[in-house]
Amino acid sequence: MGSSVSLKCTLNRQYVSADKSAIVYLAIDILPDEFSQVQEMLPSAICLLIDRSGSMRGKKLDQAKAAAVGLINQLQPGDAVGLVTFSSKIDVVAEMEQLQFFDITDLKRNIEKIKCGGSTELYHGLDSAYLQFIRTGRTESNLVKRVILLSDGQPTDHTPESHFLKLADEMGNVGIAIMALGIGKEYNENLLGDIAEHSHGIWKHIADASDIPAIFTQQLEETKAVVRTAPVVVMQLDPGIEIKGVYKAAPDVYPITELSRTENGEVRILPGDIRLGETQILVLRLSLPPRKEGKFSLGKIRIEGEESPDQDIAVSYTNDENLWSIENDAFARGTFLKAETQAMTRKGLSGDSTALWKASQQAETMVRDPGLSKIPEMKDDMSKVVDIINKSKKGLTEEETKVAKHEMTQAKRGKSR
Amino acid sequence: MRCEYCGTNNTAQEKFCSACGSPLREMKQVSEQVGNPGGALSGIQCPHCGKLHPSTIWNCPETGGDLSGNTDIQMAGRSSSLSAKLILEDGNEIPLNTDGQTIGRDDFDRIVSAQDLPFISRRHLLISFEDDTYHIEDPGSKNGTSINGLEISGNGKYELKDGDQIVLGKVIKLEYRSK
Ligand SMILES: [Zn+2]
Ligand SMILES: [Zn+2]
Repeated sequence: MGSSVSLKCTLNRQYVSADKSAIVYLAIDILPDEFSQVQEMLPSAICLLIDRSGSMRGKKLDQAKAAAVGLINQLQPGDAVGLVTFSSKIDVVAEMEQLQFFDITDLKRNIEKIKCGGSTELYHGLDSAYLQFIRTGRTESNLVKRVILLSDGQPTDHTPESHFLKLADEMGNVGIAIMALGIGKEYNENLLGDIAEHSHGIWKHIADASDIPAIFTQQLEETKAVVRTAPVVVMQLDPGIEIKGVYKAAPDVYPITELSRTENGEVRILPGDIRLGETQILVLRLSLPPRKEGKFSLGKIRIEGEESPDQDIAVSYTNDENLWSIENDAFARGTFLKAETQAMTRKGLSGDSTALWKASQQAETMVRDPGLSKIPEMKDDMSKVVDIINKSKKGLTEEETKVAKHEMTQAKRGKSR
Repeated sequence: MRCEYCGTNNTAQEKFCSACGSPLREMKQVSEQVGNPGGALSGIQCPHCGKLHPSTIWNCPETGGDLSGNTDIQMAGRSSSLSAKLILEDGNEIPLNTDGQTIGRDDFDRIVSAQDLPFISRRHLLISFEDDTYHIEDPGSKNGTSINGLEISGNGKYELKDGDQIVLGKVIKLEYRSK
């Protein structure tokens, strides 16, 4: 839980043509309450999950150890930490426990003793990190729960990707976000990206091992900035309405492909933890059924467990062409298209030339779309996409591809409208 | 009017695309920033397939041929495709490329109805190009694939011949055209 959040819903059109079906776009802004700044910080529970396979030997492991010690030094009493390493086998270096119950000297000595060697059994490592939370009963909602994963290699355990995603989903559902940090050019950024997104976490590319301590610190700072854990957006839509697509559009960008639906037809979306002063944005493409003239409610949207009233979204079906031919606010559509283009570009950078081609076409159309020109940063963001596609035309190294893909998971941060 | 986003042809009365919801209006001429004067009707005329491609790609999406070194040109319109594709009943096309590709749900997003989409798996078909011919394989999709009435799911590769009738998930009908 944590402090309260509020919703702002905007449709791109207020009017649609009577007796016809229509496609409209909906943006859901999730904003932390302004008063949350005076709120106390939420305690964190962090499990470090560090790759100690043979390839990590040398600077990478040394920096990872320094980063682990640095992070522990910055924790406060009440925060919990655990440390698991993985190679051919899994080692629980420190069972998850609150900081004040550790013998810190002992803990640091055990971190110093970590040695490299063997393969990359990531799945079992991740599962073991998950168990650290479950076994110690740390699934409650007032804890900010994180796995900080550092790996430099392709997993060697031959676990199908679907198993990874199932595990990540399970973790995400209890609010444990995986911060997947990939270092070097060997790791599988598609897998790390997917497990991060499925758990509502992030993936990040680390170019230089000496950056590892600073990136751990940054992850801790972002953990400490959380004012509300795992909010659930609940939508009760009119039965005639179809959801044709959903993206998380800010602060990070990815498609939401699996929607959970309750028995009474409610759709639940988990956008991830909310940080201080940062707006999360979900965008949806909706197909509306034909209706007679008049104002119709599309449905109600709320945040589970919030006192604040449900947001009622409605459109008017009309025969007046002066009304139905207008796009009132292009923000939701533009933001949806932008997220879609970024996701397609990412697919394209993974080798899907059709996706890249579609992305470049869409990006160019968006730059030329007068309706989108008023949206702040739209032009900059689309130019960035075009720029990345242009660069990849000239050929990118493996590492440059990873950086470019990472950029495609980002949106301009924390700007509220 | 043709939607510049998704290519759907809409009737003259429509103001928003019936398939993707985009406003149907004149698009601006492209800014210099994108370096593509003339907008959607400009780009690279592909030496491999003859189609017009955006200047931002380096391989022909149809044939996989190299496009680096080709300069942008202006065109009066799109020339017709010369390369292999799968055609839907409504005329929409999925271009095939010689690099090998996966065809799945994403490729049909906005092309088929939302009711039909769930019958297509995320990785429904694998396309490969060997000995100058396209091969198709359904590695085991949930709802299967038939070619000219014959189920191919889980049965390995099938060599495509012009005019083959393909049905995905028992609902989506496609025809293979070699050019
Ligand atoms: Zn369209
Ligand atoms: Zn071509």
